[in-house]
Amino acid sequence: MKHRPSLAALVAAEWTRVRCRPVVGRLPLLLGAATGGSAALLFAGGIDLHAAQQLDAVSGTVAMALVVLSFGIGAATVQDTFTSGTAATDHALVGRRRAELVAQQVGAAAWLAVLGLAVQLGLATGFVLGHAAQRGAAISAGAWQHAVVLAMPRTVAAAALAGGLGASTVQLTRSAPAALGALATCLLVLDGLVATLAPAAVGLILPDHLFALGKGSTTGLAAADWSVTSSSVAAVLGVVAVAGVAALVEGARDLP
Amino acid sequence: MNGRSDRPAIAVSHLTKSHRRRGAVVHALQDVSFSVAAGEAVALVGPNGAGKSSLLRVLAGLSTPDHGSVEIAGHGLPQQAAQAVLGLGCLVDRPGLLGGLSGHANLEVIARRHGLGGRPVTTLLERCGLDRSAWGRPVSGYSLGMRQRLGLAVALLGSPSTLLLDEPTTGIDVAGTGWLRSVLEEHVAGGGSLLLASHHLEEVERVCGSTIVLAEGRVRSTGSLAAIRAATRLAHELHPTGAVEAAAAILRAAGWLVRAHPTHLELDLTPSEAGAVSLVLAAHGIGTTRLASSEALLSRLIATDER
Repeated sequence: MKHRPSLAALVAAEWTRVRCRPVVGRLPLLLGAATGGSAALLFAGGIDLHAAQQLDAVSGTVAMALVVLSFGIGAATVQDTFTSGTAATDHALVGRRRAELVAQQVGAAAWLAVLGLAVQLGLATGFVLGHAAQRGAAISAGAWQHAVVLAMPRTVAAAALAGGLGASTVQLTRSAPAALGALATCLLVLDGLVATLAPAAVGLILPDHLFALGKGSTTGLAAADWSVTSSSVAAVLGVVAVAGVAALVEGARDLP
Repeated sequence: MNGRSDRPAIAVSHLTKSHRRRGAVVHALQDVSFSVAAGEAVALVGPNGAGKSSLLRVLAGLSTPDHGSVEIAGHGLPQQAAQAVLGLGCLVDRPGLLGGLSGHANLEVIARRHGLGGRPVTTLLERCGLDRSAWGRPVSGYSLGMRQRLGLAVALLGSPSTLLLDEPTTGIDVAGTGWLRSVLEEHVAGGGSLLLASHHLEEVERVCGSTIVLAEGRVRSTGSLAAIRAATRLAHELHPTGAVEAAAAILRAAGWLVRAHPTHLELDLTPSEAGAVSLVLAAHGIGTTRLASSEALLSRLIATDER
């Protein structure tokens, strides 16, 4: 006889679902690519690992790319549940729509945290290898710690939140292209427009806060006047709010 | 089994469901009422677009009724959906499976979520007749029939007391259809309930004792299929050995409503009346070279109330 599944069991099932995504499922490949890519970049670009700003720039760029990638994976995962009929099959088995939606968000976020960890780990390993190839000597402890201890938790958190946001946005819109379009509009149009016309509303551009959290800096972002800490808090609160609204709205709708 | 046998397995009362399609309101279900007792197998038949899938989607908790009430083993939907689904096994629309996972892993994910462990997975895969070599292959490479078999295994997971199946033989070969029939017969013999939607009366006749005929979102008739068949007049084509007009006159005099054609007669007859017609003509020295129904029972059942 079936038992009523706990939220943890639902999240575990969602974890498995995200693991099946083509990009996420090839995590070792991704890790290798990140390692090789960063080592090659370091070697060819002559990046000085002892100059903290240069190191920040590299890991910040990777974190921002990872935010976009995680958003896309989170969005595609939920879109898949609608188009493949798994959302309907799951609901017919579980019967707890809002819990299922929250589990989707958390499951996506959890796996994309692992993705962020793998990419940042690859980056750090790449730094070590690149530095060794460039200078013929081991990387300094300070630079290694900077890459691992500081950048990694930020990237992991940003990737997880972006994945949860992607999942939530598709739960709201029921369309991955619409969700990706909304992200692109935020980044390419609203970002500059709001910063110029209504600077007070800059705090509402959630992707900017995710970028700030990921790269550990607000430089170059619309939220340039914000501190990294306040921007990070805004990212967490914003994603939780969108996720909550998505669970409420989609939970009240008929399944496709 | 997980049923509460003192209550109907399914109880639907005055159910109405509409939805929008391309801006227009479609009345998928209108004032539908019926019940399925514990241990009863009921066929839900009707043409495409009759509302069968809409009804099963409401029963599976996938959509919410506009009006009316739905109870599964005494649990009202949608409020008590989490309790209702514990005793429910569904194959509605197509089976939703994770394409990147193997058939075995798909079932395992679901079984683990419900605290069932790994044992029922192997048993079910054997039971659903999926070739053992396919168990470990990704579901994305499965044929329609293989997916359908796996979908049935998902529906049977946890030995539900009530099964809701929507066109379960889609994509399944002849051998698979026989296998499915035996699985369903076993389920019902074990005290389980079944609501089986199909647009083929013959397909469901051997498994289901009762039938609900649905057309344009409304219940057209209910009851045992044998009784419905015995009581329903179908159009018959009669080719007499003698003059067609003479045969028509004899039958009209005997009270039959006859439509005469140049080569044959047409009458609406129940199976027992068909035998009587031959006897009446034989008494007047007229034989019949052919007396056969040219109309499907389902078409007539759907048309009856429209007249």
